[in-house]
Amino acid sequence: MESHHARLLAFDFVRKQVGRRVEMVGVAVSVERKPKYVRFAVDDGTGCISCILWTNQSGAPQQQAAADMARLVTLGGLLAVHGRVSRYHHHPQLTVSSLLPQPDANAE
Amino acid sequence: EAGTIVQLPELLEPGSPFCRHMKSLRVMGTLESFDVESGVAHIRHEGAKLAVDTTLLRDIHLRPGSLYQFIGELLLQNGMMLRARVARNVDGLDVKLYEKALRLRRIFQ
Repeated sequence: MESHHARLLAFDFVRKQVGRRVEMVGVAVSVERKPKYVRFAVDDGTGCISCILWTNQSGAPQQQAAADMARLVTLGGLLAVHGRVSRYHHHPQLTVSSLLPQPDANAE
Repeated sequence: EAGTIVQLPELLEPGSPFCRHMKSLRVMGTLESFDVESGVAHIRHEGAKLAVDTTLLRDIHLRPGSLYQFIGELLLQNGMMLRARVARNVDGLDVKLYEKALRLRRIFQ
């Protein structure tokens, strides 16, 4: 079973199959917070990928973990985002499974 | 549109392909000055200088002498200015390594 995440640049997303687990590092350039999800765009200089973090998980621990991750998404922050490639309105999208702020400027 | 990463000297070269009105760019430079009234900052990198309109930015404290990255759109009316929508302090960045990584990335992109 595939358990690792392939590190991708945004421009490579268009060639990647839906369902693949990927990691992407970039700057959050837009953040939209809704009751059930946080949608944000990550820009790594080669492209801009829409990411969605669902916060209405079933189960209290999962919901708390998602809420904690949602708070880490800030405009202008550097993030390492893990998730699966999906499609939304014919555009690639990353459905987030985990994310981590990168305080070190050299992380990118 | 993603902010294409560009170094200030290559942006200011005559005939630069990056120098287009409303082109989305990511630039980096040391903050030389910041006018609170107009919201215009000036950054410098390797001898090249650029004006940055910071009026769209929120929750960022700009400190002269610190290294910043700005993502935004290039405005070519009345000179050249980047209208920034995102900014981040990158003090501590290994600039030489960053530039090397940028060159390598462009080869494979």
